[in-house]
Formats: sequence, C-alpha cells, structure tokens
Amino acid sequence: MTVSVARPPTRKPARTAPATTQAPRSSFPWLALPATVWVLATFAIPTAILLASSVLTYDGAELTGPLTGANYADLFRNSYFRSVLWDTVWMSATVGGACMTAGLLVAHFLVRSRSRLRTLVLLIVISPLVSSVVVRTYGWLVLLQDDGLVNKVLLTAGLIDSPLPLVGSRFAVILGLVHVLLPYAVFTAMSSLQSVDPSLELASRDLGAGPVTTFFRITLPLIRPGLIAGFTLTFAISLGAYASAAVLGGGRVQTLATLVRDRMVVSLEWGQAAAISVVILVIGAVTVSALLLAGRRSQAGVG
Amino acid sequence: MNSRVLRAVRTTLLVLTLGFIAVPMLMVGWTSIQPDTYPAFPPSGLSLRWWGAALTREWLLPMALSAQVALASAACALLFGSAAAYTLARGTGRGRRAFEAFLAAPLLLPEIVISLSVVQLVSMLDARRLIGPTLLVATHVLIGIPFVLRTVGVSLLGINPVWERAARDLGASAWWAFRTVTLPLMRSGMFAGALFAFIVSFNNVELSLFLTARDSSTLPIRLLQYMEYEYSPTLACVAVTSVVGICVIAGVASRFARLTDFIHGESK
Repeated sequence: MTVSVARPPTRKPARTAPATTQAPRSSFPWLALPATVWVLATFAIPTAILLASSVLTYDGAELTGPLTGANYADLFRNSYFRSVLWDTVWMSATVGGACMTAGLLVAHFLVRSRSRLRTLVLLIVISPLVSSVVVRTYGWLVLLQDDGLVNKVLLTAGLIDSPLPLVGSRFAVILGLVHVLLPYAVFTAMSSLQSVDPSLELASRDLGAGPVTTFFRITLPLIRPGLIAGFTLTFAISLGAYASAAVLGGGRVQTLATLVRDRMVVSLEWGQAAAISVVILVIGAVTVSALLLAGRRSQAGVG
Repeated sequence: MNSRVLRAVRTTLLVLTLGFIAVPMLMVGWTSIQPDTYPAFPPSGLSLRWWGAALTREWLLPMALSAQVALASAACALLFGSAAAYTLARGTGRGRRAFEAFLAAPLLLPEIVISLSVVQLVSMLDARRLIGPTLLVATHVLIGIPFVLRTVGVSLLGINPVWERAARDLGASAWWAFRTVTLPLMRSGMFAGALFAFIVSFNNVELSLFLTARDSSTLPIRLLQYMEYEYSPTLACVAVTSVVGICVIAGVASRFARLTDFIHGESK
C-alpha cells in the first residue's frame, strides 16, 4: 500500500563525517556547470537587467535614455496603481490565511489519523496538481456562472433571491487562488506537523487538557514556524499569480500581475511593467524576510 | 460528549475542504460529457457534442507544442539537474547550500516577472525571433532543474559514496564505477524528477505568458486566451484530454519510481 507516504519520515541517517572524509572529493565539479550557466543566462542575468531597467527611460518598448526614478514616481503618484497594489496585497494575505487554515485541517488528519481513508484524502489533495492552473480555473468558471452550481445551491436553499454575479468578483479570484495553492499549504503543514512528537500531545491529554487546549497550547506553538513559512509561500505566489485573476476576475478585478500584462501587451509601457514587477518582487522579499525573522524568533521562544 | 461534537465539526470541515478541492475538477469532467452550454441541475442527460470541436487542429496543435516543449525541457532539466545533484551530493556545508539555493531561486520569483525579464533581455539583444519554442524550453528548464535536483538528491542520499570508491579500488574507471554503481541507484529519482519537470512545463502558464509566438501557443496559454473572452464547454473536453494524458504519463512513470517518496521531499 502507499499508506507509507503519510508516515512520519524515517530519516535516512545523514552521511556522517567519517564517511565524507573517506569519500573522494567531488571528482567532477564541472558537472554542476551546465545548470549554473543555464540559471545565470535565463534567470540571474535577465532579472538583474530587469531591476536595472526599471530605473531607465523607455519610449514604449524601446529603451532610450538615462537613469531615472520616473517609472516609480509615475506609479506611486497614480491612485489607480495604489488601489490595485492594496487589493493585491490584501487578497494575497486572505489567500495565504485561508490556505494555511484549511491546509492545517487536512494535514492534521493526514498526519495524526489512523483512518484507512488517509490514502484517499492524500490522493484528493494531490489530484489538482496533474492539471494546469487554467484547467482548475475553468472548473471554477463553470461553477460560479449565474446558472452555475454555486448559485443554484444558494437559490434552492433560499439564501439569495437572484443569482450573485460571482464571476468578476474579488471573491471568485480569492477562491480560485486558494484552490490552486491549497496542495502546497497542505504539504507545508504536513511536514511541520510530522516534526511534532505525538507523545507531547499525549502527555498534555494525560494531564487533563482537552483536545482543543492541547492543540492550541502544545501543537500550534510548535508548528508556528512551519505555518508562517507556508503562509509566506502562498502569499508570495498569489502576489504574482496571473491566470486566476485574469479569468475569474472577468476583466474587472485588476491585480499587479494583470496590470503587468496590460502594460506589456496592451499599452506597451515596458518601463512601467518593469517597475511593477520590481514592486511585486520587493513586497514578496520584504514579507519573506519579515516573517522568517518572526518565525525564527517564535521558534527561539519555544525552544 | 464534547469530544464527539468536536470530532463531528472537524469531520464536516474536512469533508467540505476535500469537496472544495475535488468539485472544480469533477465539474470540468462533467461539463465535457453533458449537452448544455451551462451544465444544468438536475442533469439533462449525456452528450459528446462538445468533443467534435475539441479534437480539431485548433486544439491539437497547441497540445502537441506543449508536449514537445515539455519533453525537451524535461530532458534538459534531467540532464543538468542530475549532473548538478551528483556534484552537490559530494560537496558539504555552506557552499553546497548556497549553490542549491541559487539553482532553486527561480522557484521563488513570480514566474510572470521571469517571463518579462527574459522578453526584455531578448529585445535588447535584438533576438526577438527566439520568442516561441526556444525560449519556452529555455525558461521551463529553469523550473524543472530544482525538481530534478530535489528528487535525485533524495535518491543520492541513500547511496554511500564509499560504494563507488570500492568499485574504483577494484579497478573500475571513474565512469564505469558511476555507471554500474551510482547511476542505477539514482534512476528512481531521475524518473520522478523528469516527470515533475514534464508536468510543470506542460501545465505552465505564467512563464510562457510573454514567450509564446503569435501563431503558436502552448495549450494552457491558448486555453487562457480563449477563456478571457469566451466561454465554451469545448474547453472542458480539451482540459479533460490534457489531464488524461498527464495521468497516463504519471501512471507509466510510477511503474519506474515510487513517486510518493518524492512528494514528501517536495514539501521540505
């Protein structure tokens, strides 16, 4: 059976120092060269140039002039951009929070339960990964139509009188993003739950704490760094996610990613597109480092 | 009593979450085999009417391009990634970790940003003719490498370098020792890595966003362009075809590698 997946990892003994000293030093260091060159050429250099070019002058898609802060000044003076920026940030934060909450719920079942349904649940969690984001988004598009299943159910239940215009709403975009990112959230939560010794929880229960108290007093503080890491991951991915916003937003919800695409393809303002990309990068980087710091601190507090 | 209520609440939430995950996918499947433009509830019957338009050149060509790009980029990622993983496994300490982080860095940046930066670079170099399959493969390799690095790394973890050394001491050449001792043990990780690289390339949207040529799109991009302006159940048939294709490939690959072993590795 494949149940073994959800079993706490039996760490293979790390290669110990004596073994390494006996082993030959890498006899083929050049083997790492192709990968390095590739990453440099198609990633490191282009991104470096992007960062540089966001402070250069563009005429449409043509690079023309000298160093300037105009791209950024234009951006932040623009109230439309500021509102898109804010929308993207709070939507991504909501997505991250929802993902980690739902992810923790599923992960807890996968790690702690002895149920035979575990394999099935794991399969369901993994199943969306075989399809493209676009396919999953299409599924939501069908569900959220005016005559879609969601509206039908709400109407039948008498919760609403007329179909809600779900496609084109921020809610739809958030839903789509949570769906796309949930598997990653489950994996992150699983790996941090697996590192919690179940006997700590048992001890708490033996000492009279209920399951809820045990979870909040014992388990949660121990997995907090993992949850923070998972939140950061899902938050950062949502910041730059294009497909869900473009389709489920129905052209009415603008995020930083759809704005970049607009500037690149529609209005051909490449300098602006570069500047917005850099804004996405910076928000991502600042959040990652802030939360990593917070995570380390809270870990230190527990340990 | 209290704990029974708690368990009921937890089970309900769990079932709802799983439903949330599964329903959109099931919905795509259902849409492809029913007759209405917007699937009716209760269902009004079964029909294959949408399949006619799905299995035409309009959709089969993008599918073929996606498959070619995915195959090429998985092959490159496998080659570069395995080679790097093999070298890394012999390294130690800080340098190794920094190098791994360097190779995995493309996963951290939003793909749309990478896509944009590559377009910008080729425009500066006056090499816009590379836009299309060439650059698609080039960038997809970038996100394939970290997967291969990870899975092959997991495989290599179980291999003691002393074994290869023993083969050398017994007279094998470096290449022969590698081929007969290490390579067979790496194979499972290589299969898994190549499969993941294939899937992330085949399904990729955001890296390809600015890199597809006007006359030839990959399947996800074609679907996306269509969906932004129109709604048609035909897309469900196209989607089902692509998902079935991926599942068949994954099924075949899982005969050669225990994929589940690596999904764990993924999460770390």
